Amino acid sequence: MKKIQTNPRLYFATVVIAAIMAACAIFIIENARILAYEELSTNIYLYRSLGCLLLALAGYFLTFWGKGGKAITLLLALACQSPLTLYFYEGLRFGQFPPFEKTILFVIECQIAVLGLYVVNAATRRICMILAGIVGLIAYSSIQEMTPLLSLTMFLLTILTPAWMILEHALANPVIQFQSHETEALKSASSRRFMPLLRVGCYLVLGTITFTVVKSDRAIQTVLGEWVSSSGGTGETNELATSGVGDGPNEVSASKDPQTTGFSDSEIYLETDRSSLFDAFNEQYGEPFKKQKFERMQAMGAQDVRENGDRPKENLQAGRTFELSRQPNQQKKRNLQDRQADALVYVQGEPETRLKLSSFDRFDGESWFTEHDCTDNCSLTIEQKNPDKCWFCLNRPLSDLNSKTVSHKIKIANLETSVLPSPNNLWKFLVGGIRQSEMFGWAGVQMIRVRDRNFPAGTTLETVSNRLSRRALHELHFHSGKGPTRHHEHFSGRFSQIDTASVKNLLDSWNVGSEKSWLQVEKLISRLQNHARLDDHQQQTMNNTVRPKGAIDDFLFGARKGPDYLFATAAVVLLRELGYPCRLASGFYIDPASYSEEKAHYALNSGNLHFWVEILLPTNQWVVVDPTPGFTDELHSDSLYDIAWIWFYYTRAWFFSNYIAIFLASLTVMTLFLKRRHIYDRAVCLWLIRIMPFQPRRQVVLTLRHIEWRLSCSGMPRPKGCTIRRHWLGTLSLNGPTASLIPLAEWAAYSALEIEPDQPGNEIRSVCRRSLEELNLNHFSKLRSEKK
Amino acid sequence: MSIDLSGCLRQKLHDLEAALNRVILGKPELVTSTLICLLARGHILLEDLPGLGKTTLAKALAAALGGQFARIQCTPDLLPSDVTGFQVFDQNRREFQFLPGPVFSDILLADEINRTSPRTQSALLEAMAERQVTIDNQARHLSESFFVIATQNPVDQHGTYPLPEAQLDRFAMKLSLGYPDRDSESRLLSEAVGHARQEREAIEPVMSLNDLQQLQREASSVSVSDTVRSELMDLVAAVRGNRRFANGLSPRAVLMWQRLAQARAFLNDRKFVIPDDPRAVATGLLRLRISGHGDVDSVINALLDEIPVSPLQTPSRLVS
Repeated sequence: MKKIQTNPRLYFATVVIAAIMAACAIFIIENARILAYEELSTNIYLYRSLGCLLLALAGYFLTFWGKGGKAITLLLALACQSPLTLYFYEGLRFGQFPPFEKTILFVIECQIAVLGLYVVNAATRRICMILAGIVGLIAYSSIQEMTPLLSLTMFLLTILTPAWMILEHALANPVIQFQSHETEALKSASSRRFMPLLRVGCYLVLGTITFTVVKSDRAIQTVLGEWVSSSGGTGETNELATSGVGDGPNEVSASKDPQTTGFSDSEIYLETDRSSLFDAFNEQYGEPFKKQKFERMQAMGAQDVRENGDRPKENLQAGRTFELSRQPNQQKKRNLQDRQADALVYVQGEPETRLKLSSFDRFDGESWFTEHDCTDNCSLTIEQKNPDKCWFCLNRPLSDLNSKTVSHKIKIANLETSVLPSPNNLWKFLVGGIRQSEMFGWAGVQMIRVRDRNFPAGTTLETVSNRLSRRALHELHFHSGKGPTRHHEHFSGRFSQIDTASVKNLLDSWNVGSEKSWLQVEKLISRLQNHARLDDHQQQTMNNTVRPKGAIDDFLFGARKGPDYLFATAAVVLLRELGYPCRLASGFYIDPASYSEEKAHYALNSGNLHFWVEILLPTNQWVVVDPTPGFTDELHSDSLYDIAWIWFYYTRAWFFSNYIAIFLASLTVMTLFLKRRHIYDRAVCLWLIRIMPFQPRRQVVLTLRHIEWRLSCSGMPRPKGCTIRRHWLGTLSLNGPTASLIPLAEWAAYSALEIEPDQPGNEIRSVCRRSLEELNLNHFSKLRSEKK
Repeated sequence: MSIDLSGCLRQKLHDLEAALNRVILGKPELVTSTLICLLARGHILLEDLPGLGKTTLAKALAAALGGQFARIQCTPDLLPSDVTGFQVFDQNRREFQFLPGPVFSDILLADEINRTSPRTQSALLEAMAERQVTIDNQARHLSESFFVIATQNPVDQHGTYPLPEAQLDRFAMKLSLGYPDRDSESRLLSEAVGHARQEREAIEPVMSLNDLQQLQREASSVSVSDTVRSELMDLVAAVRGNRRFANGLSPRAVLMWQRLAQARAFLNDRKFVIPDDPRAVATGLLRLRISGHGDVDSVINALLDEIPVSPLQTPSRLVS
């Protein structure tokens, strides 16, 4: 702060340049982050950069003022923790923590900028700013697509950094005006000229190295290895290097005519062992447990046995139910020639989406049954905009809940299905070149199927669907809908075989509240995820005699672990108990890990089968809720503003429901806060007067300290270079017991230990007591007002 | 020593203070400073305008102590032998006889000391520091309670020889009297009515020189705790780090600082030194050593206010 006095203009220039640098660095980092994750709304980094600039300038003026420097730094440091706060907020609230490295990156960049701008120590500030520059540089080099704005920002950063360094250096070494020795002045002048050049050089070299290493697509050791002569070859292989027709991405590229793609040449058409959804279920979850007809069996005599010779018939009627009790998934023996199963479905588009293939609404405690027959006429309209592509639109009212549209291209490969695998909230779809809406019917509530046939292998589908906004869901009133819809009763049925009392007890113990709201749903799901553990290899081998109450009872109250269908089933049971109409849905989960670089598609096979829950909203829309731990939901990510709004919304609701308690509590806290000094004062006095059995010296010093504390509380603290006697008698002109206390105080504080006091112990004690009683806070505040 | 004797001596000390206050009206701080210097065996440099009572103070002090008083009026042509004394040849006895100079006294007033040449000023050096003079290779001891009050005139700088640093370092304090306040001055005027001579009332001796030496010994035995001493060292370090004190602060001055602090504590009937003591005597002590002109006192006070008073330590820490 002394530097301001040396050259305010120079200081101002340095601060402005540093602020612009920090803003540039943050801009670049944010860009890199957003391009990598495509998550935040696109303008937020701009706001952050501008905000940083404004903060920096505000900070400059405040430091120039010379007041509150520390407080400002503290405040800004606190503000920098907001990404961390957000991180924990999201984690605790939605049960899923956002990627940690993003948060840390943001925290680091904020901290660096703030430290760089506000730290008084020049060396630390310099290091911080250089770090900010380097982080910016690394971020810049990791951006794939370059925009002119980004390049301009980077150019600005590159230009500004050396300029700022020179200024900083000039600021740290002001021209010495009173230097008498010429030689020294010359020496310092030459070092002034030399040092920034050296630093700028270092910075440039460091930056070039970083840039080269990070930006280069080859590893550094490869680059270095090329310097050494060898017999040739770098040993690099590229798995994406392909050749030939119908290979690589071309093999499954979605096109209109299935016959023209690579499938016609493949062995898929030679033997059509395409698997249905329920075959896939069996592959993934094991076969359903077949109920024994007889409790006990006895072998017949040899004469009664007639050898059949045929293979026993398999039960192909797995049909449209899903049993929770399933047999262990037997690992098939694989031969060397065996090849991995081809995908059932290939998908392009937004990952972490669920493609629904079937849904279940009725549950008897052990098995799920497919929905009631849907007799809706499939009312599809054909979008006329594009004559080449025939889009079928579902006639559904536009809702406030929709916030973003996502599109998928789906290619049905090995799956035998008549149901259109579509994301939730389907808006429009396209099936190859089909133009007749009569071909489609309902497979369930808001589920499309093709009539009387299956989709042939290689059919390409395109879907456009809506994502729901989390903020709008929070604002939704679950009670004030238009009343139960036609389908409502089908999805609200209770389950006779489930012990309702224990489910209710469980819900009570989870404390999710009684008000129906989206918050309650989220709470319930997160409690459920904490309650049970995901175990994909749970072997459901036990039969009903071992576990009399059923799988779901065991999941909730017994083992408390199980695969995703048990999570989903439990969630349906609990949600229906709370009064939400909901159903169990199954289909594919587009796992980002299933992305095949070779084919440029997500290749989904039976391992991607998943079960989840869909809740019917009062707006007659379905919303996906995934109770299985580790799966993200499908809601559209909120901006910071939306998250703040949700906070505000619930805070307001909480405030209005508890206003009396809040009023009383804040009254108490206010009183305690305003009277905190008096309370502390009384406590210390009580201790000093009533309880203290100290030796006289200690007693006097403690008394004195407490009175000094009172003085500083009353705004009349003793200056550091002022002695007690001078302050009390001279500045404050205290009277009363002071005259006898001060000599005692000087004796206690400053005399050697062997010197005895003039007064006896009890007299000392009485002087202390009188001082504590008379020189109290009220006395001092009166004194202060008199002095004013 | 017995308590009675000590109490009796203290009474004499207070009598001395009262006597001086009767002569120098309205300047109790100056009287206190003078007594502190006297107890610490340090010499005083009085810098003030003529006619403010410098000589009066010195004479009164000598009279009250019952000691021998001598005065040197310093002029440019004053010679060292005029100060120390010299040998004359006695024709009758046919041998050199020593004629003692003014330094062979108990209280010496060196008036307008900056008017004389550095040569003569230096003649006082040995006398002030070691209480002896060497004449013709023969060391002659001065009085045990030898005490110098030197004066100098701050305004009339023409034809003066500023005191060298070596000389200044031998003084303990630089004091100035200043004008008396209105009441004191009117009292002075009223007392002067009816007195033909300018002389004020004669002062009876209140103590002997032996008593003074006894008091000086007792003052030097006042205890200084570690806390206060470390604070004193902080003050010393701050003074040495300040660029106004280009000539530094000699260990002799630091020693004198502690003696002055002890003397102040003794004068205030205390057996130990408190942080007030070094700070109170610091102004007089540091005025001698500061370089440059201007408002010297405010610089010193600002310097003192910078250094924190040693904090109140809990006795448990004191015990350990």
